[in-house]
Amino acid sequence: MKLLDKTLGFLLLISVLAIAASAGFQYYLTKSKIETNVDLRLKKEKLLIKQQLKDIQPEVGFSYNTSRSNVRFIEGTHKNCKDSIFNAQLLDADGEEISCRILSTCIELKVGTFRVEIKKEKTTTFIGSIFLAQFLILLAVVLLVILFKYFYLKNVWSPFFDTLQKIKSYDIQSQKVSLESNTNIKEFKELNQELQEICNSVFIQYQAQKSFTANASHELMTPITVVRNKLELLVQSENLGENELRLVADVLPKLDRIVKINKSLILLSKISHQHFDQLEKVDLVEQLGDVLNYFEDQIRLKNLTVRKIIKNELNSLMHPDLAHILMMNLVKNAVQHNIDGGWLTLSITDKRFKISNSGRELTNATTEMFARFTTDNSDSESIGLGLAIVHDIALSYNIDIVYNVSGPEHAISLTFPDPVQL
Amino acid sequence: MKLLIVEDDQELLRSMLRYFDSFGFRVDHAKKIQEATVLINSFSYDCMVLDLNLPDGNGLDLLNKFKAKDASGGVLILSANDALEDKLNGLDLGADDYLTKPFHLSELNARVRSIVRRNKSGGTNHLIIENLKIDFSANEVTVSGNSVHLTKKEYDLLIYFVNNKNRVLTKQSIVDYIWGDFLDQSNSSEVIYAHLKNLRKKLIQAGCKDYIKTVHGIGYKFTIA
Repeated sequence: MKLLDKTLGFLLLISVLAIAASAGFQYYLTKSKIETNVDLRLKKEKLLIKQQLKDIQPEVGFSYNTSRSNVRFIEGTHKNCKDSIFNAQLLDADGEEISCRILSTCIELKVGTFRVEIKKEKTTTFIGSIFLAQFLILLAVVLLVILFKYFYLKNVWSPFFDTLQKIKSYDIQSQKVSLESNTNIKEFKELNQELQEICNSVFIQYQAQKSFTANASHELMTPITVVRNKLELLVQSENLGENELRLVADVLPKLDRIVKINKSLILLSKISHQHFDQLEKVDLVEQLGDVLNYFEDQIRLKNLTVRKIIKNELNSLMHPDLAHILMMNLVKNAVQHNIDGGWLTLSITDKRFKISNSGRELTNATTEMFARFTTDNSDSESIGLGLAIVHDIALSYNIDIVYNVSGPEHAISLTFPDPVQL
Repeated sequence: MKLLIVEDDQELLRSMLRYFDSFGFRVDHAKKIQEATVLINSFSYDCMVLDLNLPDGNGLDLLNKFKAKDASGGVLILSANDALEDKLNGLDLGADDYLTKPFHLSELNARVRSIVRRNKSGGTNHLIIENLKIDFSANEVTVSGNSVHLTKKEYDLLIYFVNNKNRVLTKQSIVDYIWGDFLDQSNSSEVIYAHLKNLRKKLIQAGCKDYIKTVHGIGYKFTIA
């Protein structure tokens, strides 16, 4: 639920309850006011009837009946004959039900006692008015709440949403975030300050970690070279037996793997440090041809059927080395994870380059495929950095990249941005 | 052949010295620009192997001095980073080749030999092993006078082997030398094998001995008795 909606929902609930309570209270008040009024008039009428009875000197058994009152002679005397007033629903001449208030009392005359009942119609139309009025008030409140939301609340909260948007689009790799906004609301100021501090420290730590990785990888290169060279010298020795040679043979590929990981990590850190800032117009169709030539041996060994569908030429403005590395890694990935006798399709349509290939079903989610050190379990040879490199290169040139997989068919699509003229 | 190696890492230096020594090269070495400058001024070398990151400065200065003294001497730059600027700078300033760490000794040797061969003025520029003759200037291979047609990769492979004759070459060093960084590790052995098979077949059919032996699990060796 959204912040503003939640606030307003509560406000509306309170309003509805308040209006309902107010309606009930008004109803009760008006009703009792009207009854008091009617009762006074009933009592006046009683005095009037009493006076009339006295004037006409009624005989024993006198009684009369009108639509408004009913007077009946009763034998004997009734001491302490008190007034009683009550409500009743009666039918009028048209047979419609009307609410009445009835005064029942007795009048003592010398000739005897008269039971007197006086009724007065009690108006109820006010109830409708009350509820209509309250309903209109409710409508007005709802309208006000909506206006309040759009013209006031949104404005008040706008620094907050502004901050939220900035944090959402914050990319730790690319730049520092500036959370300064000219709000005069204390809490938002504090929020921005605190977030700014967190972002800055995260950025600094991220940078430190990145340069640590880069430095560490870099520092490792000399010792790795020493190990590689010593092993190379070792295998020249005539004194090595079968067993010793086998030990070295086990170690060599592991060392080569370390070299590969290290080189890739250095490359990744260079990409994210924007080390490759030189831009050139790169002909991707030409690149693709070169890359396919490079992999011809492996394509032949795996018996892959390669299809090239080039609808148009595609140029991109990027560092030529990165363009090369991008294409190499894409094709390498498609060849390496292919199956024997499989296929490989490369297509260029408009600004889109798509490479699809046969392979095995994925055990990982496609979203994870660009993460570092993610490999399909079945292939232990892969170091899982090729696609991370592809992803980071794409990211640094605003190339939209998507990994799709449907069963044994894998596809990576790259949509290049419009080339800017140099 | 006379070499100068300028490298500040003791162990790296020792490995290089040992490998080059085994071929009977005369090798001088220096760990600092200062030491190297003295050697350059006093002697002449066929080739200098130069690490760019030295404790007392950037190796590129040394490159200028070396080339100023003797333009026919070759320079191979060693560097821990394959940064493009360094590479371009180095090659612009007259370095003949560039190798990044971690390199293979066999590859370093092959490249140094190529540099020296290229820079050699006059004289013969070919290698003869029994009836096998490789003409480096024409990139031509003949067996008993008959030309053998090799693909570029087969030719490069053969050069790599004869440059490191009687040395075990690891599969990865072959991959790095011929294919570079991108070959898929999982089937690089098969790729090497496929090319080597063709190379051996062509040489044997032309009447050449089969010099290339497999060293199980490790690589190959070009053996001349």
